[in-house]
Amino acid sequence: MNSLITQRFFPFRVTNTAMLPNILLLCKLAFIMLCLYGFVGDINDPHVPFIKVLDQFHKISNVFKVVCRVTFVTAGVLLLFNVRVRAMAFLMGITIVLVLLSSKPMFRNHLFILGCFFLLAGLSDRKHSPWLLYVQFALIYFGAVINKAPQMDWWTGQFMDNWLRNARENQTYITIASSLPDMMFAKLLSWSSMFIEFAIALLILNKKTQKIAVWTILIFHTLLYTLTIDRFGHFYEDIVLGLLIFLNWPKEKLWVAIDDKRYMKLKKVLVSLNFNDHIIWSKASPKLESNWFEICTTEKVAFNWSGIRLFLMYSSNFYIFLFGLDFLDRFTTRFLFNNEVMNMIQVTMTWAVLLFFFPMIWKNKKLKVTNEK
Amino acid sequence: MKFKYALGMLFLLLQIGTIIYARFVPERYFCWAPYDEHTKYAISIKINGELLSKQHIKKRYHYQAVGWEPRAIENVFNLIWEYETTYGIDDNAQVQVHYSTNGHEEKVWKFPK
Repeated sequence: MNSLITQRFFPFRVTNTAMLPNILLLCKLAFIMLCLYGFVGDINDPHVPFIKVLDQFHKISNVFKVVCRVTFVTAGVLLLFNVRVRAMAFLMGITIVLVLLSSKPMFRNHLFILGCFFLLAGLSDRKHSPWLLYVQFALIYFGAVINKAPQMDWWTGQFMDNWLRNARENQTYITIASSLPDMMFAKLLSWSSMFIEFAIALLILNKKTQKIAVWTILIFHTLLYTLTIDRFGHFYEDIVLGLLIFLNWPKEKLWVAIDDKRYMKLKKVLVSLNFNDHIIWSKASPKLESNWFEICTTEKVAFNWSGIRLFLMYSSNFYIFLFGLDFLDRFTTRFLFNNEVMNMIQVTMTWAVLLFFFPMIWKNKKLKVTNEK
Repeated sequence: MKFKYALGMLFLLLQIGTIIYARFVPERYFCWAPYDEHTKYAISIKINGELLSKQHIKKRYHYQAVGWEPRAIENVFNLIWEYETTYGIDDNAQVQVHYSTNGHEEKVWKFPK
């Protein structure tokens, strides 16, 4: 088993390839997600294409469909096995964009966003920060604001009220809105959405404020998910996966120590969360007796729960586990109970994970101060 | 500058182009405009005096005949217009779309106009 997981081609490994590990992880999870959502089956011959020349494929039916399906799946599988990862990501991106261009009814923003991620991930490398992807992220939010702001219905609250009251029949919205003056809640939601989206777009473009942008995105979209109980296709997943681009994967090794006399089982779990070689397990226990876990990077040292958070942040299998848990939970609770129970569990789980990591916002600052001392 | 960065920047510039282009046309494609308006609509088609069922409409346009459109309703009009002036030109279909955007009063879009 050990020899298998140390192989370069092992699908759970994301290090030692031509891509940054976090970008490769994003691509792998996005590919699996698209397969689970049935994207491959949705690929068809062109139908009312954006580019007229694609209509030529009607002369030889199924060719476009089969070529796109085979290209996407082959590239995705090869990427999973760490083969020519940049070329495969680029190929997947091109395929998605081509499929969208081939059919107007197929156009979905949640597909286009993944097409962009794949394509730009394919143009990134492991030596430089993925700035093309940063700009892409900012562009999504700039575009959203630019399209909303000129519309009067976004300033009067008419869009929000109609969407949540009539289209979604959202009881939370209806209850709160009825206790406030006419359209006040709708205006509040509309204006704050536009302001937040604009702020996110600006914050992303500055390296120093990217961390605030990441947390704003997470909280903003999770609040929206909580209020509407809707992931807008797989847009929510796309955005959350996309945030992996902002993870600064450690360039040096991480030294980890755990009190394995008391926490042997925890150690086993943590070891299984990483099949990459950037984590070195120390044979010694943490230095101070009050500490049961310690993690050292070149920049900082973290202990106990802060250390666990840092460890999980740099553990690729942790993200795969969360992703798998989310999908499995959706499948099983929907099968065993109903959509309401499923949504309740998913929203609770999402907030639980967010709250667990929430202390990282200020904990890192503290560590930096300590280091400076 | 490396070719790959130039290619990436070109791709991003194309998106900026579509965002700007969308300011001058009613359709909203590739310009990051999800849920900027919400429209309740219903498509009806008459060919040779006979009304098509919802299933036939879906098969014709690869789009649902009745529902909520979370993007610009002009995307739906554009799809119908494109279809009826190309694949379906010989059908001489008469199409009507009853729609209400953001809860405003209902309007009707017709093909041919």
